[in-house]
Amino acid sequence: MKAILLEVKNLKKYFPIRKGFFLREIGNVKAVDDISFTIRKGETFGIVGESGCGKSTLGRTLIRLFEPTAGQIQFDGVDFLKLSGAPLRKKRRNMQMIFQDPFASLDPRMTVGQVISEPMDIHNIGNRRERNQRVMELIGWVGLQKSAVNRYPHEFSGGQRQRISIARAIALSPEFIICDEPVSALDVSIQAQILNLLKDLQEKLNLTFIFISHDLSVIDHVCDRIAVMYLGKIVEIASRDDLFSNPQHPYTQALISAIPRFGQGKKRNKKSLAGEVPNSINPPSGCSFHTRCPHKMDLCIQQTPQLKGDVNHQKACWLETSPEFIMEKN
Amino acid sequence: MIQTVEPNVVEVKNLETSFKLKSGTYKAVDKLSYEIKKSQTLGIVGESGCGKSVTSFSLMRLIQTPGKVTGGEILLNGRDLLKMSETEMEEIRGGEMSMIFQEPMTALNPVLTVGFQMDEQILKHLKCSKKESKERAVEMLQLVGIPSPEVRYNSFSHQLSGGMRQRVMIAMALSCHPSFLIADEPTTALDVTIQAQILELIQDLQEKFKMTVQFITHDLGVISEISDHVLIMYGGQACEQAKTTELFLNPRHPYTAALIASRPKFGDRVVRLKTIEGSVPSPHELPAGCPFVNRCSRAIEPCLNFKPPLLEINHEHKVACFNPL
Repeated sequence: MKAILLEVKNLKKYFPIRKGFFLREIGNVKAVDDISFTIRKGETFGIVGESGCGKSTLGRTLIRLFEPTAGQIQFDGVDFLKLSGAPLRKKRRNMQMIFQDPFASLDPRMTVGQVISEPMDIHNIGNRRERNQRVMELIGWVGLQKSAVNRYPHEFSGGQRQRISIARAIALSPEFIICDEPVSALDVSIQAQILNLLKDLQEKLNLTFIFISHDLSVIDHVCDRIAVMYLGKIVEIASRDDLFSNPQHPYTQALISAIPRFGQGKKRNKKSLAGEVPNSINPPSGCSFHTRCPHKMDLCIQQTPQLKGDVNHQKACWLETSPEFIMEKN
Repeated sequence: MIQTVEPNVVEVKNLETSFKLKSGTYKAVDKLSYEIKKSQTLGIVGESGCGKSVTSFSLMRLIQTPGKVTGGEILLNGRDLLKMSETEMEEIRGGEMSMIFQEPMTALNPVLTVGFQMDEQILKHLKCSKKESKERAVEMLQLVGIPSPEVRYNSFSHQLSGGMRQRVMIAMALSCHPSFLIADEPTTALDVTIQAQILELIQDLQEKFKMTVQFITHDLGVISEISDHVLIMYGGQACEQAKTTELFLNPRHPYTAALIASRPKFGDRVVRLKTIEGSVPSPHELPAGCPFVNRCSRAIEPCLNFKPPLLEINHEHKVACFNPL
């Protein structure tokens, strides 16, 4: 088994809700609520959930774009939350992020060359000639034309812009990259190109990925292990094969059966999940999924279930035996 | 099962919509023809910029300058919409024919209540009293599964969640019993579990009201579950048209096949996804011949200079390709 790269323990990120003239704190949104997991080197760890479940906040909290409210993050054997100043910057070289919207994440007034070399400028790596060389190398790796270096982001399509973001993310040879919905804004035929590129780079550079997405087919394609989030909590965590062949939590089951399958013709009357994701300012008591769960018991309303199970497959659910699930294939 | 031949509710013939810009005139939709039979659903699939939304807007006659429908016929129940006056068209929009848009937040007016916006339409088309109109609006809200419809009747759109807003849009679109509904990416902005609810709702209501539906999306999974026939568009043109199962089992156009292969599939894992090289051409970069020629692995000489016509190669299976699979 490979060494552990990232260990997260009881991580919490609460956003205060303020009201009134003095902006008194009247409560908080528990965007990330008591989350623990570990990621090994070279792994692709998927985080899946619907909008507002806290998956993006979790990604940003991990690299401290948001300061966590509580919890621990061990990165590469170092207590990442204790770092500050120069040591923090140095450690951050090792972790990069690719964002969802390549139209918003690239500065329109910088050329592609400047965008890609900016991380090296900030971290003072190499002289100008070496940086330029590195930029050309990266442009080649992500499959852009050499002439791209002097052009501006607006001259490129969504897929090409995402390639620029990827080049920037790998410029400092990081070990760990958080991909926050990297293909959601792209066309179907372009998504495949970017997913293949990420896979190639992972092999070539020995990268560890966190892959955040709402699209289960994409998650199924790229991830080794997957955590399913609902209202700030992980409800199930398992290896890819386990999760998709034997989903245990009723929410995971509902998510998997809600994915439209293709090639089977018109389909009707499948059991779709009723209701909507509750408001995270005022989440339900006990298990936060109980308002939509078809297997709700009294216990679920009173007490919050904790993640339990063996190392390979854990769920946070009071049901002793999971409901039967028949996997429909494509 | 008794097979009856249903009449065509919608017939589109050689539809052409162009945009006149400073740099020239571009055809966003080029010689598009299709028909939809009563109570059936036609799914139109394509990537961004392929002309699928422009097609819907052309049908509703909502294309704004610099765009213009420059040719063809759009027959709705036998009448040509392009020959109608704007007043006649206003009667049809929201009445006989209705549309659901992708982004319910921008499609609803934020300063008017849901009820006001519904009444506006019902009063215009059904010529009833205000009281009857309110009853009808509340009844429709109930039908689309909105809890406490009387309260929601007085709500503003920002007080509703994304899924609820889309339900309001559907209630509004169906409030005057249209015979033809255009749904333009109605679930793209929604979460998967909400998407499943909305798709089911549209199908239930379609059965109930015997509606004909044109469903537009870029999601092959959604299209497969909701439509009877599928039309694949690329660069403003139809490249393949067939029954849904036939199209997915036996795609003949290289673009359709590549599109299906580039999507990760459940229960059928591959190490590498097949890709389509390059990107979707914008209307001013379209090649002279087949729009897909620059990205096609099966391109032959005629593809460069001639547009392939859409020909029937099998029962109800049409392909526009000189070298089909």
